[in-house]
Amino acid sequence: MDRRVAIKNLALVLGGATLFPKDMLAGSSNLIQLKNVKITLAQEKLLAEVAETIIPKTTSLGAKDMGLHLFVLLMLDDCYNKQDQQQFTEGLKQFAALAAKTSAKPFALWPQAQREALLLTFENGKAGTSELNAFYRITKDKTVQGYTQSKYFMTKKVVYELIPSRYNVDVPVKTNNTAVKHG
Amino acid sequence: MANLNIDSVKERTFDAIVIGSGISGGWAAKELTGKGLKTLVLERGRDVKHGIDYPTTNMYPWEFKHRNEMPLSVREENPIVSRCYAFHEDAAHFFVKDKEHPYIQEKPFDWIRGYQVGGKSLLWARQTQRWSDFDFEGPARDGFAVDWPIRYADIAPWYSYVEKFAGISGNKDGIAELPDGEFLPGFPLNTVEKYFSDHVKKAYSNRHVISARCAHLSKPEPIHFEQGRVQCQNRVLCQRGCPFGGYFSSNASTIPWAMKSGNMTLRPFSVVQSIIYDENKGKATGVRVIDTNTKEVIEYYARIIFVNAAALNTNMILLNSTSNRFPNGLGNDSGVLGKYVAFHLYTATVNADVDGYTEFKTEGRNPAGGGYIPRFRNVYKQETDFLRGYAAGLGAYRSTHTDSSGVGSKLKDSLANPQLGGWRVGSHMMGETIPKESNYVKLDKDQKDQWGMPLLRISVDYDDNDRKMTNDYLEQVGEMFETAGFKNIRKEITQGKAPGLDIHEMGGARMGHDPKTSILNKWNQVHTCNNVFVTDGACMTSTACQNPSLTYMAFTARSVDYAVSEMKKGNL
Repeated sequence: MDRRVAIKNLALVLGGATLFPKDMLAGSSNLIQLKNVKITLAQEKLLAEVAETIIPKTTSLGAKDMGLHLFVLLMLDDCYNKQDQQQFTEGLKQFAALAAKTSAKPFALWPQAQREALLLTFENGKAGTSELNAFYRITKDKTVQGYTQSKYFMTKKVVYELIPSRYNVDVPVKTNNTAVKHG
Repeated sequence: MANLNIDSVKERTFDAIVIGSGISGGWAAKELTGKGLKTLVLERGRDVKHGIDYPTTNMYPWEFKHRNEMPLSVREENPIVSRCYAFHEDAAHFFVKDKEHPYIQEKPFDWIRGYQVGGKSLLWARQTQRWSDFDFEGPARDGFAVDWPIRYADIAPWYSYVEKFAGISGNKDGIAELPDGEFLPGFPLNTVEKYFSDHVKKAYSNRHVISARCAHLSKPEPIHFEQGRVQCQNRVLCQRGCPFGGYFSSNASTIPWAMKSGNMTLRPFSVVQSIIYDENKGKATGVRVIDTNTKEVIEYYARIIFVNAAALNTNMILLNSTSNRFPNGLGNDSGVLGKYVAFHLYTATVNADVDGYTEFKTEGRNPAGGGYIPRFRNVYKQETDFLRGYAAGLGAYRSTHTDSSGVGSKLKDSLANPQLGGWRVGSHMMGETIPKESNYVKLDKDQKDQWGMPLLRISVDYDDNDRKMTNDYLEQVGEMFETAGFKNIRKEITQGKAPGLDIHEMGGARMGHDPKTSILNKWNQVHTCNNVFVTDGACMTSTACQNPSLTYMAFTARSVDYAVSEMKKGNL
């Protein structure tokens, strides 16, 4: 298949449990075409690593497998205002610089624990610059949303029922741990 | 006119014309065709065929490009419709976009419209409560608007008639101010809603919390299967159109029923420019339609005309139907047409947390939305410093908490294991407003839309009565929550919410005894043009606080029955 067509198709099925062949992520042009936000190939790849740090591949799929960073970018491009978009791209730039300053090794090659430690400094929104915090918040929120609202998660990890066909009240609770059911 | 030959006129002549295919137009179509009248149904928008034209209805959350969120560019281009709670990726195609159909806001008014076959019956919130004489007697008792020319006894059998066909779920609650109807089984109150209902019964002599009554087939009967509808599947994705016909819409029910009769001609893409009035006959003879695609003007003729274009559009059509006899709009000798527009107050909410009951949860979804608190203020006598009262929605739910802190495999684990939290309870206000002359719509003298129709100017605003009522709601429901022991009570006035977002605009062509102060008589018949009937929201003399659609359905069936019997007697 023509690479451009392949990429276009991937973008179309972004929400699903799209399995991204490794060579796609190692490709030489951006996987997503944006209307408003400008992202370099290097930045897109770094974002993929940040998303993978948030939702790593374990015994189950991770962010890269599902292309979650592309969902982050799609939402950023279509649903956020200019100010948020500027904060995000500036924050992404600052994040790349910070990572480079922290270690000579590329962020992608850091151990998971070290990558997590860096991200967690922004978790409460107080440590970094406003741009870094905005970048982290948007990336985290949309990565989590992309994950929890993916076909993979909603069919394999929890139960989503389009048709519950029931409304039961006074259902006894055995434990407070609940399988997610929509509704 | 391009086609004046006799055959063409014959082809364009019907027994009846219905303008609009929404909740009341669909009923007019069903009733007229059911009585054997060849009926032309005009719809300004496109056709939406039941089941076929519901493109999102079976989509999963992950299949929506933005997970159901509207892109910012769409929201910026369409600020009005974007304020509607149901305007999302799954239903945006059923809403009018701001730019396509402009109007003029003399005062802020969010006019939410659905231009397609079925109109807003695809999008409505499906709440269906009857009015009572406390509502029909309201204007006379409290001295506002004009007296309703009917009472509950006039409309009660017609409520029963439409309820049986539409399918209304509810319980026989035996409350005088909210009469019982022909119900399918009601959806149950959950643990906390039931507790609150019991509490209110004990603590107040005249207040009730009941299961909300709604147009869902909880247990369909043969008449519903005959329509091709089956049991509500509790999806609560109604705004997408329901392939099961689980809730009542024109598309699932009345329109296909009318079509099956063989007597209906449905013409989408047809903006009605005006109703044609014949001075010699002293009657309307038909309507002038603009084909929205070709912009061709075509006339259609009929013996009777039902105007069901949705409240404000019906006003627009009547105002634009001028003649020597009616220079200010059809039937508008009184000058009342377009005035006394009113709406519902959806301006406040009360929310709280609930301690306890954690041994219970719910499963599935409740299409009724929960409970309903019928109006309790000023019912038997005037008792506050504002007129009339309000109903309230009431819902409790068991919250779930997902720990989304942190990153990595710990985060993945917690996302897959949400925890049940405590119960929460919430209420929203639905208040009656007083129709006033100063709340009006009229036609702009210069500006026209792309079909040459004058733009509508809307001038509708809140008043002191509304503000006092809103405060009383917060106080009273707040107190009911407090005495029930609910915690962390949050009383909020919805800031910056313009009238219109309730999507219950009413009036402008009100019913009344006297042609000098009203447009329609007790049969929804234009006083001074007796073969034109208005049975949508435009006819409303006052608003009560019940959701109005069920009343429009009953008015329509009753009015068609009258019109056809008058035709048979040779009076029309």
